[in-house]
Amino acid sequence: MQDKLLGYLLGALEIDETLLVEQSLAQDAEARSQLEILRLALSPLETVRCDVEAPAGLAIRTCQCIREVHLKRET
Amino acid sequence: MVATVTMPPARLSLSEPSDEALLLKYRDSGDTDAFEMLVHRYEKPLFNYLLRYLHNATFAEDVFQATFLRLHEKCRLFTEDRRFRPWLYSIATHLAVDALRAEGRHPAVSLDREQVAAEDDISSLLNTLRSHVPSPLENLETDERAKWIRREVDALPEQLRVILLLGYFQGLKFQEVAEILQLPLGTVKSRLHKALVTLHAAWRRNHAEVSSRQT
Repeated sequence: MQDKLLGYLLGALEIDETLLVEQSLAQDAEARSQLEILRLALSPLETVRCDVEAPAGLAIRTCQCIREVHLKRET
Repeated sequence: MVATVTMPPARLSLSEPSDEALLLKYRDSGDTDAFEMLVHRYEKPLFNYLLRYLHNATFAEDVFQATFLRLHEKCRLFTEDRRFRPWLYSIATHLAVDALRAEGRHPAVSLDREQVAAEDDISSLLNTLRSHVPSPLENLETDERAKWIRREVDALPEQLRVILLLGYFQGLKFQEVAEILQLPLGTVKSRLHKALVTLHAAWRRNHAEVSSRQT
């Protein structure tokens, strides 16, 4: 159950597994307590979870680069 | 740079085409708009994954471009029964490993073949946590705390760190992580537990050190 609870917290479970965990949580106080402990354990990591913006124009440069490579190979 | 928590682009509205539909469209018709939509969709999450993995923005940018170039070259191999996101991250991870090796920075162990010690201690996480109320970093300033946590994440063995990056920071599903790293599902779960146990032990050590300095 622990791995399922951790997966649930991370959003790492498939939909059917998520539903099963939610059922357990609704019925089982021990499961809710375990979930809270896991949530606390993950909380320090939240400090560094923020994403930075990608460098400006990265996607555009990437698409341009691929177009150029593609053209070069065709000619 | 603006920092935000990015949800991975897994949940799309019904009107948006799925990643798989876009790549299949590109594969079948060469529709560059479809391909470019994928590049834009993954610009931020994939760049952040590579930045965390490589610790270098220039490297991350190079590998990002190489990943989509490889995707473009290999798109004929993509079939209807595959999922796009694990394939993309698998290509990116292998190219990132190659980039680190080329720089002589990659640890000697392979990502997917070596065993991590004590991999079967899946039950130990809750026991460890129960024995200690987790408040080890409260005494640190926010910046200092973030720096310390990053250092501890970076200090994890490679097989644990990559799973934490994919499973926690990228928010991928266990099954996707297993596909990316070609590992059994159980191994992915146990390594994630192991990563958290290891980090928690480090936090406890930190707490003890800070407490002893204060007394």
